[in-house]
Amino acid sequence: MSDYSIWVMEYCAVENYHKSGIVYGAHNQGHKKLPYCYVVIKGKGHVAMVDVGYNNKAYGKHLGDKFGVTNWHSPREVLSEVGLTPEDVDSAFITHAHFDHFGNVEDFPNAHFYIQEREISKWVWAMSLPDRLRWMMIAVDPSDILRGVDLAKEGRLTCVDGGMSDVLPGIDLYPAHDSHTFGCMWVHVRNDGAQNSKDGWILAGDLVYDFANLEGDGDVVGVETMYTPVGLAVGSQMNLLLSYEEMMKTVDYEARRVIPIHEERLKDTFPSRITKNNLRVTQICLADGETSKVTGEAAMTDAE
Amino acid sequence: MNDHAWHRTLDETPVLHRAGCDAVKHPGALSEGLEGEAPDIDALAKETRDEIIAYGLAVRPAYDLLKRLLGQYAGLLVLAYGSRRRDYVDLVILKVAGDQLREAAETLGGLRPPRRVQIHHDALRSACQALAGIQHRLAAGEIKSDADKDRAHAILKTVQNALSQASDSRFAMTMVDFRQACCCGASA
Ligand SMILES: [Zn+2]
Repeated sequence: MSDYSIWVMEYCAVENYHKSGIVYGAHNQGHKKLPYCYVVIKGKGHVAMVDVGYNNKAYGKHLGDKFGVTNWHSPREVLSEVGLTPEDVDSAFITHAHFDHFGNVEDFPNAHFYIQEREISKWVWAMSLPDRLRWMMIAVDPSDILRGVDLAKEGRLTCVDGGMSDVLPGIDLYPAHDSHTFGCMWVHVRNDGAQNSKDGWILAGDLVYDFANLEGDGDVVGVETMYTPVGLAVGSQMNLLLSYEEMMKTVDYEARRVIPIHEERLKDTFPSRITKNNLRVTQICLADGETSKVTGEAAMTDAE
Repeated sequence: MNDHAWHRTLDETPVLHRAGCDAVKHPGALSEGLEGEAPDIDALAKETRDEIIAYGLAVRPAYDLLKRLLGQYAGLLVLAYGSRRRDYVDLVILKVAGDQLREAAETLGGLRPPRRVQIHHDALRSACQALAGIQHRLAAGEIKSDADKDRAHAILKTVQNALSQASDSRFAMTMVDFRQACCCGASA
Protein backbone atom coordinates (compact mmCIF):
# COMPACT_ATOMS: atom_id res chain seq x y z
CA MET A 1 0.00 0.00 0.00
CA SER A 2 1.35 3.42 -0.97
CA ASP A 3 -0.50 6.56 0.02
CA TYR A 4 1.57 9.13 -1.86
CA SER A 5 3.33 9.67 -5.16
CA ILE A 6 6.54 11.68 -4.98
CA TRP A 7 8.21 13.41 -7.91
CA VAL A 8 11.40 15.49 -7.93
CA MET A 9 10.88 18.25 -10.49
CA GLU A 10 13.87 20.08 -11.97
CA TYR A 11 13.03 23.72 -12.74
CA CYS A 12 16.47 25.04 -13.80
CA ALA A 13 20.12 24.08 -13.43
CA VAL A 14 23.72 25.20 -13.12
CA GLU A 15 25.80 23.18 -15.56
CA ASN A 16 29.10 23.61 -13.77
CA TYR A 17 28.90 23.85 -10.02
CA HIS A 18 32.07 23.45 -8.02
CA LYS A 19 32.16 20.17 -6.10
CA SER A 20 33.49 21.76 -2.95
CA GLY A 21 30.15 23.54 -2.59
CA ILE A 22 28.38 20.20 -2.64
CA VAL A 23 30.66 18.13 -0.46
CA TYR A 24 32.63 19.71 2.37
CA GLY A 25 36.34 19.76 1.68
CA ALA A 26 36.15 18.58 -1.94
CA HIS A 27 38.60 21.25 -3.07
CA ASN A 28 40.02 21.23 -6.58
CA GLN A 29 37.88 18.29 -7.55
CA GLY A 30 36.21 20.00 -10.46
CA HIS A 31 32.60 20.76 -11.25
CA LYS A 32 29.35 18.93 -11.84
CA LYS A 33 25.82 19.73 -12.92
CA LEU A 34 23.61 21.02 -10.11
CA PRO A 35 19.92 20.79 -10.96
CA TYR A 36 17.56 23.07 -9.00
CA CYS A 37 14.45 21.13 -8.04
CA TYR A 38 11.38 21.08 -5.87
CA VAL A 39 9.34 18.08 -4.84
CA VAL A 40 5.69 17.27 -5.49
CA ILE A 41 3.87 14.92 -3.12
CA LYS A 42 0.40 13.80 -4.23
CA GLY A 43 -2.05 11.55 -2.44
CA LYS A 44 -4.79 11.25 0.17
CA GLY A 45 -6.60 14.12 -1.55
CA HIS A 46 -3.63 16.47 -1.16
CA VAL A 47 -0.97 18.01 -3.35
CA ALA A 48 2.03 19.24 -1.38
CA MET A 49 5.36 20.79 -2.36
CA VAL A 50 8.66 20.58 -0.60
CA ASP A 51 10.05 24.06 -1.40
CA VAL A 52 8.79 26.26 -4.21
CA GLY A 53 11.86 27.44 -6.12
CA TYR A 54 12.60 31.03 -7.00
CA ASN A 55 10.93 33.68 -9.07
CA ASN A 56 12.67 34.31 -12.34
CA LYS A 57 11.36 37.88 -12.61
CA ALA A 58 13.30 38.88 -9.55
CA TYR A 59 16.58 37.02 -9.98
CA GLY A 60 16.65 35.31 -13.33
CA LYS A 61 18.83 37.68 -15.27
CA HIS A 62 21.35 38.17 -12.53
CA LEU A 63 21.61 34.44 -11.80
CA GLY A 64 21.95 33.65 -15.47
CA ASP A 65 24.56 36.30 -16.18
CA LYS A 66 26.67 35.89 -13.09
CA PHE A 67 26.29 32.27 -12.05
CA GLY A 68 25.35 30.33 -15.15
CA VAL A 69 21.90 29.31 -13.95
CA THR A 70 19.99 28.30 -17.06
CA ASN A 71 16.72 26.93 -18.32
CA TRP A 72 14.34 28.26 -15.65
CA HIS A 73 10.72 27.29 -16.19
CA SER A 74 7.64 28.30 -14.26
CA PRO A 75 5.83 26.03 -11.81
CA ARG A 76 2.91 25.97 -14.27
CA GLU A 77 5.13 24.46 -16.97
CA VAL A 78 6.99 22.19 -14.58
CA LEU A 79 3.96 20.83 -12.70
CA SER A 80 2.07 20.18 -15.93
CA GLU A 81 4.51 17.32 -16.54
CA VAL A 82 2.81 15.42 -13.71
CA GLY A 83 -0.67 16.59 -14.66
CA LEU A 84 -0.95 19.31 -11.99
CA THR A 85 -1.24 23.08 -11.78
CA PRO A 86 0.15 25.44 -9.11
CA GLU A 87 -3.46 26.02 -8.00
CA ASP A 88 -3.75 22.31 -7.11
CA VAL A 89 -1.08 22.68 -4.42
CA ASP A 90 -2.65 22.90 -0.94
CA SER A 91 0.47 22.60 1.24
CA ALA A 92 4.10 23.70 0.94
CA PHE A 93 6.85 22.67 3.34
CA ILE A 94 9.71 25.17 3.18
CA THR A 95 12.91 23.44 4.22
CA HIS A 96 14.70 26.79 4.65
CA ALA A 97 14.43 30.41 3.58
CA HIS A 98 17.13 30.54 0.87
CA PHE A 99 15.78 32.33 -2.16
CA ASP A 100 15.89 29.23 -4.37
CA HIS A 101 13.60 27.36 -1.97
CA PHE A 102 11.29 30.08 -0.61
CA GLY A 103 11.46 32.58 -3.47
CA ASN A 104 8.28 31.83 -5.36
CA VAL A 105 5.37 31.63 -2.94
CA GLU A 106 3.31 33.90 -5.17
CA ASP A 107 2.86 31.18 -7.75
CA PHE A 108 0.99 28.92 -5.31
CA PRO A 109 -2.17 30.86 -4.43
CA ASN A 110 -3.96 28.06 -2.59
CA ALA A 111 -1.09 26.62 -0.59
CA HIS A 112 -0.65 26.73 3.16
CA PHE A 113 3.03 27.17 3.98
CA TYR A 114 5.08 25.67 6.80
CA ILE A 115 8.48 26.99 7.90
CA GLN A 116 10.47 26.72 11.11
CA GLU A 117 9.91 29.72 13.37
CA ARG A 118 13.62 29.71 14.11
CA GLU A 119 14.40 30.22 10.43
CA ILE A 120 12.63 33.58 10.65
CA SER A 121 13.62 34.66 14.15
CA LYS A 122 17.34 33.95 13.70
CA TRP A 123 17.28 35.63 10.31
CA VAL A 124 15.99 38.76 12.00
CA TRP A 125 18.85 38.49 14.44
CA ALA A 126 21.42 37.90 11.69
CA MET A 127 20.23 40.98 9.80
CA SER A 128 20.90 43.05 12.89
CA LEU A 129 24.56 42.05 13.05
CA PRO A 130 27.38 44.30 11.87
CA ASP A 131 28.85 43.95 8.40
CA ARG A 132 31.78 41.89 9.58
CA LEU A 133 29.26 39.13 10.36
CA ARG A 134 27.59 39.53 7.01
CA TRP A 135 28.35 35.96 5.98
CA MET A 136 25.45 34.79 8.11
CA MET A 137 22.94 36.79 6.11
CA ILE A 138 23.57 35.19 2.76
CA ALA A 139 21.09 33.99 0.20
CA VAL A 140 17.93 35.18 1.93
CA ASP A 141 15.92 37.89 0.24
CA PRO A 142 14.15 40.38 2.53
CA SER A 143 11.44 40.53 -0.13
CA ASP A 144 10.72 36.83 0.42
CA ILE A 145 10.34 37.45 4.13
CA LEU A 146 7.97 40.29 3.30
CA ARG A 147 5.92 37.94 1.14
CA GLY A 148 5.91 35.67 4.19
CA VAL A 149 4.06 38.49 5.95
CA ASP A 150 1.36 38.31 3.27
CA LEU A 151 1.02 34.59 3.87
CA ALA A 152 0.96 34.92 7.64
CA LYS A 153 -1.62 37.67 7.47
CA GLU A 154 -3.87 35.54 5.29
CA GLY A 155 -3.50 32.68 7.77
CA ARG A 156 -1.52 30.74 5.16
CA LEU A 157 1.75 30.42 7.08
CA THR A 158 2.43 28.21 10.05
CA CYS A 159 5.67 28.91 11.91
CA VAL A 160 6.59 25.48 13.21
CA ASP A 161 8.50 25.25 16.46
CA GLY A 162 10.48 22.00 16.23
CA GLY A 163 8.96 18.78 14.94
CA MET A 164 5.41 18.28 13.72
CA SER A 165 3.69 14.93 13.21
CA ASP A 166 1.01 14.27 10.64
CA VAL A 167 1.12 17.73 9.12
CA LEU A 168 -0.71 15.83 6.41
CA PRO A 169 -1.74 12.24 7.17
CA GLY A 170 1.50 10.23 7.37
CA ILE A 171 3.78 13.22 6.73
CA ASP A 172 6.05 14.56 9.49
CA LEU A 173 8.34 17.59 9.71
CA TYR A 174 11.71 17.35 11.49
CA PRO A 175 13.87 20.31 12.53
CA ALA A 176 17.61 20.41 11.81
CA HIS A 177 18.49 23.61 13.58
CA ASP A 178 21.79 25.43 13.13
CA SER A 179 22.86 23.24 10.25
CA HIS A 180 22.71 24.42 6.61
CA THR A 181 20.70 27.37 7.96
CA PHE A 182 19.38 28.43 11.36
CA GLY A 183 16.01 26.71 11.11
CA CYS A 184 16.28 24.01 8.43
CA MET A 185 13.76 21.21 8.36
CA TRP A 186 13.24 17.96 6.48
CA VAL A 187 10.15 16.03 5.54
CA HIS A 188 9.36 12.37 6.20
CA VAL A 189 6.62 10.71 4.16
CA ARG A 190 5.43 7.47 5.81
CA ASN A 191 4.00 5.96 2.70
CA ASP A 192 2.41 2.96 4.39
CA GLY A 193 0.83 5.22 7.01
CA ALA A 194 2.48 3.20 9.79
CA GLN A 195 4.12 4.96 12.74
CA ASN A 196 7.22 2.80 12.32
CA SER A 197 7.10 3.00 8.58
CA LYS A 198 8.84 0.42 6.43
CA ASP A 199 8.14 2.55 3.37
CA GLY A 200 9.35 5.99 4.34
CA TRP A 201 10.86 8.68 2.12
CA ILE A 202 12.82 11.69 3.29
CA LEU A 203 12.95 14.96 1.40
CA ALA A 204 16.14 16.52 2.65
CA GLY A 205 16.08 20.06 1.24
CA ASP A 206 19.65 21.40 1.20
CA LEU A 207 20.75 19.32 4.17
CA VAL A 208 21.87 16.72 1.66
CA TYR A 209 22.94 17.83 -1.83
CA ASP A 210 24.43 14.67 -3.15
CA PHE A 211 24.67 10.93 -2.49
CA ALA A 212 28.24 11.59 -1.39
CA ASN A 213 26.96 13.47 1.68
CA LEU A 214 25.46 10.25 3.06
CA GLU A 215 27.85 7.75 1.55
CA GLY A 216 31.05 9.68 1.20
CA ASP A 217 34.40 8.01 0.75
CA GLY A 218 35.57 6.80 4.15
CA ASP A 219 39.05 5.86 2.97
CA VAL A 220 40.73 8.55 4.98
CA VAL A 221 39.57 6.94 8.21
CA GLY A 222 39.67 3.34 6.97
CA VAL A 223 35.95 2.73 6.63
CA GLU A 224 33.93 2.08 3.51
CA THR A 225 31.67 5.14 3.67
CA MET A 226 31.00 7.96 6.07
CA TYR A 227 28.75 10.98 6.24
CA THR A 228 30.37 14.08 4.76
CA PRO A 229 28.46 17.34 5.12
CA VAL A 230 27.37 19.71 2.38
CA GLY A 231 29.67 22.62 1.58
CA LEU A 232 27.58 25.29 3.29
CA ALA A 233 26.75 25.33 6.97
CA VAL A 234 25.63 28.58 8.58
CA GLY A 235 25.29 26.43 11.70
CA SER A 236 27.73 23.57 12.04
CA GLN A 237 28.98 20.54 10.19
CA MET A 238 28.30 18.61 13.35
CA ASN A 239 24.62 19.49 13.25
CA LEU A 240 24.49 18.49 9.58
CA LEU A 241 25.97 15.09 10.44
CA LEU A 242 23.57 14.63 13.33
CA SER A 243 20.67 15.40 11.02
CA TYR A 244 22.00 12.75 8.58
CA GLU A 245 22.09 10.24 11.40
CA GLU A 246 18.51 11.06 12.38
CA MET A 247 17.34 10.79 8.78
CA MET A 248 19.12 7.50 8.21
CA LYS A 249 17.83 6.05 11.45
CA THR A 250 14.31 7.05 10.44
CA VAL A 251 14.60 4.97 7.24
CA ASP A 252 16.47 2.03 8.81
CA TYR A 253 19.77 3.18 7.27
CA GLU A 254 18.54 2.63 3.72
CA ALA A 255 20.32 5.57 2.05
CA ARG A 256 18.27 5.53 -1.17
CA ARG A 257 15.23 6.60 0.90
CA VAL A 258 16.84 9.98 1.62
CA ILE A 259 16.26 12.14 -1.44
CA PRO A 260 18.81 14.89 -2.22
CA ILE A 261 17.08 17.26 -4.61
CA HIS A 262 20.23 18.76 -6.13
CA GLU A 263 21.54 15.29 -7.08
CA GLU A 264 21.67 14.72 -10.83
CA ARG A 265 22.34 11.01 -10.25
CA LEU A 266 18.86 10.41 -8.83
CA LYS A 267 18.24 9.19 -12.37
CA ASP A 268 20.51 6.22 -11.72
CA THR A 269 18.37 5.09 -8.81
CA PHE A 270 14.83 6.10 -9.82
CA PRO A 271 12.92 6.14 -13.11
CA SER A 272 12.95 9.53 -14.78
CA ARG A 273 12.49 11.29 -18.07
CA ILE A 274 13.50 14.54 -19.73
CA THR A 275 10.65 16.89 -20.65
CA LYS A 276 10.28 18.98 -23.79
CA ASN A 277 11.87 21.83 -21.83
CA ASN A 278 14.93 19.70 -21.17
CA LEU A 279 14.15 19.35 -17.47
CA ARG A 280 14.16 16.07 -15.60
CA VAL A 281 11.17 14.55 -13.79
CA THR A 282 12.21 11.83 -11.35
CA GLN A 283 9.60 9.52 -9.91
CA ILE A 284 10.50 8.44 -6.40
CA CYS A 285 7.35 6.41 -5.76
CA LEU A 286 3.77 6.03 -6.98
CA ALA A 287 0.60 5.96 -4.93
CA ASP A 288 -1.81 3.09 -5.42
CA GLY A 289 -3.89 3.84 -8.50
CA GLU A 290 -1.63 6.65 -9.77
CA THR A 291 -0.21 6.31 -13.27
CA SER A 292 3.47 6.70 -13.94
CA LYS A 293 4.56 10.11 -15.17
CA VAL A 294 7.89 8.86 -16.50
CA THR A 295 7.01 5.74 -18.48
CA GLY A 296 4.55 4.80 -21.20
CA GLU A 297 2.71 7.76 -22.69
CA ALA A 298 4.55 10.26 -20.56
CA ALA A 299 7.92 8.89 -21.62
CA MET A 300 7.25 9.76 -25.26
CA THR A 301 8.95 13.09 -24.70
CA ASP A 302 12.04 11.54 -23.17
CA ALA A 303 15.04 12.96 -24.92
CA GLU A 304 17.39 10.26 -23.73
CA MET B 1 20.82 64.79 13.33
CA ASN B 2 18.98 64.41 16.59
CA ASP B 3 16.62 61.61 17.48
CA HIS B 4 13.52 63.74 17.32
CA ALA B 5 14.10 64.96 13.83
CA TRP B 6 14.98 61.54 12.65
CA HIS B 7 12.38 59.48 14.48
CA ARG B 8 9.40 60.65 12.53
CA THR B 9 6.09 59.07 13.33
CA LEU B 10 4.20 57.13 10.74
CA ASP B 11 1.77 59.98 10.26
CA GLU B 12 4.52 62.42 9.52
CA THR B 13 6.30 60.07 7.20
CA PRO B 14 6.45 61.41 3.68
CA VAL B 15 4.38 59.22 1.44
CA LEU B 16 6.41 56.73 -0.51
CA HIS B 17 5.69 56.22 -4.14
CA ARG B 18 3.23 53.43 -4.70
CA ALA B 19 4.05 50.42 -6.88
CA GLY B 20 3.70 51.46 -10.49
CA CYS B 21 4.05 55.17 -9.79
CA ASP B 22 5.99 56.93 -12.53
CA ALA B 23 8.53 58.23 -10.09
CA VAL B 24 9.75 54.73 -9.32
CA LYS B 25 8.91 53.09 -12.60
CA HIS B 26 12.47 53.17 -13.77
CA PRO B 27 14.44 50.28 -12.41
CA GLY B 28 18.11 50.94 -12.10
CA ALA B 29 17.83 54.69 -11.94
CA LEU B 30 21.56 54.65 -11.31
CA SER B 31 22.35 52.71 -14.43
CA GLU B 32 20.12 55.00 -16.39
CA GLY B 33 22.13 57.86 -15.11
CA LEU B 34 25.22 56.14 -16.39
CA GLU B 35 23.84 55.03 -19.70
CA GLY B 36 21.60 58.04 -20.05
CA GLU B 37 19.86 58.21 -23.36
CA ALA B 38 18.20 61.50 -22.60
CA PRO B 39 19.15 64.24 -25.08
CA ASP B 40 21.14 66.21 -22.56
CA ILE B 41 23.59 63.39 -21.93
CA ASP B 42 26.02 64.79 -24.45
CA ALA B 43 26.11 67.97 -22.53
CA LEU B 44 27.16 66.19 -19.41
CA ALA B 45 30.85 66.02 -18.98
CA LYS B 46 32.69 62.82 -18.03
CA GLU B 47 32.87 64.37 -14.62
CA THR B 48 29.16 63.71 -14.22
CA ARG B 49 29.63 60.05 -14.96
CA ASP B 50 32.34 59.93 -12.35
CA GLU B 51 30.04 61.69 -9.94
CA ILE B 52 27.37 59.09 -10.50
CA ILE B 53 29.86 56.30 -9.89
CA ALA B 54 31.10 58.03 -6.76
CA TYR B 55 27.52 58.45 -5.60
CA GLY B 56 26.74 54.79 -6.31
CA LEU B 57 29.67 53.63 -4.23
CA ALA B 58 28.94 56.02 -1.40
CA VAL B 59 25.24 55.23 -1.19
CA ARG B 60 25.64 51.46 -1.11
CA PRO B 61 26.16 51.13 2.67
CA ALA B 62 22.88 52.99 3.22
CA TYR B 63 21.08 50.74 0.74
CA ASP B 64 22.46 47.67 2.53
CA LEU B 65 21.30 48.93 5.91
CA LEU B 66 17.82 49.73 4.64
CA LYS B 67 17.57 46.30 3.04
CA ARG B 68 18.53 44.66 6.30
CA LEU B 69 16.07 46.77 8.25
CA LEU B 70 13.33 45.78 5.84
CA GLY B 71 14.25 42.13 6.45
CA GLN B 72 14.19 42.57 10.21
CA TYR B 73 10.85 44.35 10.39
CA ALA B 74 9.32 41.90 7.90
CA GLY B 75 10.60 38.99 9.97
CA LEU B 76 9.15 40.51 13.12
CA LEU B 77 5.81 40.89 11.37
CA VAL B 78 5.87 37.27 10.19
CA LEU B 79 6.36 36.23 13.80
CA ALA B 80 3.69 38.66 14.98
CA TYR B 81 1.14 37.23 12.56
CA GLY B 82 2.30 33.67 12.15
CA SER B 83 3.60 32.36 15.44
CA ARG B 84 2.16 32.03 18.87
CA ARG B 85 5.06 33.95 20.32
CA ARG B 86 4.13 37.22 21.90
CA ASP B 87 7.69 38.30 22.58
CA TYR B 88 8.60 38.74 18.96
CA VAL B 89 9.93 42.24 19.48
CA ASP B 90 13.34 41.86 21.00
CA LEU B 91 14.64 45.01 22.65
CA VAL B 92 18.26 44.32 21.80
CA ILE B 93 17.36 43.93 18.14
CA LEU B 94 15.31 47.12 18.28
CA LYS B 95 18.23 49.03 19.69
CA VAL B 96 20.52 47.77 16.95
CA ALA B 97 17.88 48.55 14.35
CA GLY B 98 17.73 52.08 15.72
CA ASP B 99 21.49 52.40 15.29
CA GLN B 100 21.30 51.02 11.77
CA LEU B 101 18.57 53.50 10.86
CA ARG B 102 20.56 56.40 12.23
CA GLU B 103 23.62 55.32 10.28
CA ALA B 104 21.62 54.98 7.06
CA ALA B 105 19.99 58.38 7.57
CA GLU B 106 23.36 59.99 8.22
CA THR B 107 24.92 58.41 5.15
CA LEU B 108 22.05 59.54 2.97
CA GLY B 109 22.00 62.98 4.54
CA GLY B 110 25.69 63.42 3.81
CA LEU B 111 25.37 62.75 0.10
CA ARG B 112 24.79 65.31 -2.61
CA PRO B 113 23.67 63.17 -5.53
CA PRO B 114 24.16 64.29 -9.13
CA ARG B 115 20.87 65.57 -10.50
CA ARG B 116 20.42 62.68 -12.85
CA VAL B 117 20.21 60.24 -9.96
CA GLN B 118 18.37 62.50 -7.54
CA ILE B 119 15.37 60.18 -7.87
CA HIS B 120 17.47 57.30 -6.53
CA HIS B 121 18.52 59.29 -3.51
CA ASP B 122 14.95 60.49 -2.91
CA ALA B 123 13.67 56.92 -2.99
CA LEU B 124 16.18 55.77 -0.40
CA ARG B 125 15.51 58.76 1.84
CA SER B 126 11.79 58.10 1.71
CA ALA B 127 12.39 54.43 2.48
CA CYS B 128 14.59 55.41 5.40
CA GLN B 129 11.97 57.74 6.81
CA ALA B 130 9.24 55.15 6.44
CA LEU B 131 11.35 52.56 8.24
CA ALA B 132 12.07 55.11 10.98
CA GLY B 133 8.33 55.41 11.47
CA ILE B 134 8.01 51.68 11.96
CA GLN B 135 10.95 51.64 14.34
CA HIS B 136 9.36 54.41 16.34
CA ARG B 137 6.04 52.58 16.60
CA LEU B 138 7.71 49.29 17.51
CA ALA B 139 9.86 50.91 20.18
CA ALA B 140 6.80 52.62 21.62
CA GLY B 141 4.93 49.31 21.68
CA GLU B 142 2.39 50.71 19.28
CA ILE B 143 2.21 47.85 16.80
CA LYS B 144 -0.18 45.50 18.51
CA SER B 145 -3.58 45.27 16.90
CA ASP B 146 -4.17 43.71 13.50
CA ALA B 147 -4.83 47.20 12.14
CA ASP B 148 -1.40 48.35 13.40
CA LYS B 149 0.28 45.35 11.82
CA ASP B 150 -1.58 45.86 8.55
CA ARG B 151 -0.42 49.45 8.43
CA ALA B 152 3.17 48.51 9.11
CA HIS B 153 2.93 45.79 6.48
CA ALA B 154 1.64 48.25 3.88
CA ILE B 155 4.54 50.58 4.62
CA LEU B 156 7.08 47.77 4.33
CA LYS B 157 5.66 46.92 0.92
CA THR B 158 6.26 50.44 -0.31
CA VAL B 159 9.77 50.30 1.14
CA GLN B 160 10.39 47.00 -0.61
CA ASN B 161 9.19 48.52 -3.85
CA ALA B 162 11.47 51.51 -3.45
CA LEU B 163 14.49 49.34 -2.61
CA SER B 164 13.85 47.00 -5.51
CA GLN B 165 13.71 49.97 -7.85
CA ALA B 166 16.88 51.35 -6.33
CA SER B 167 18.73 48.05 -6.75
CA ASP B 168 21.58 47.96 -9.21
CA SER B 169 23.84 44.95 -9.50
CA ARG B 170 26.64 47.05 -11.04
CA PHE B 171 27.01 48.71 -7.67
CA ALA B 172 26.47 45.41 -5.82
CA MET B 173 23.13 46.71 -4.64
CA THR B 174 20.95 43.61 -4.89
CA MET B 175 18.22 42.39 -2.60
CA VAL B 176 19.96 39.02 -2.13
CA ASP B 177 23.66 38.70 -1.51
CA PHE B 178 24.38 36.05 -4.13
CA ARG B 179 28.12 36.07 -3.75
CA GLN B 180 28.07 33.34 -1.14
CA ALA B 181 24.72 31.76 -1.94
CA CYS B 182 24.61 28.02 -1.50
CA CYS B 183 23.62 27.40 -5.06
CA CYS B 184 25.49 30.20 -6.73
CA GLY B 185 29.13 29.52 -6.20
CA ALA B 186 29.86 28.88 -9.86
CA SER B 187 30.89 31.57 -12.24
CA ALA B 188 29.18 31.51 -15.59
ZN1 LIG C 1 20.14 26.45 0.72
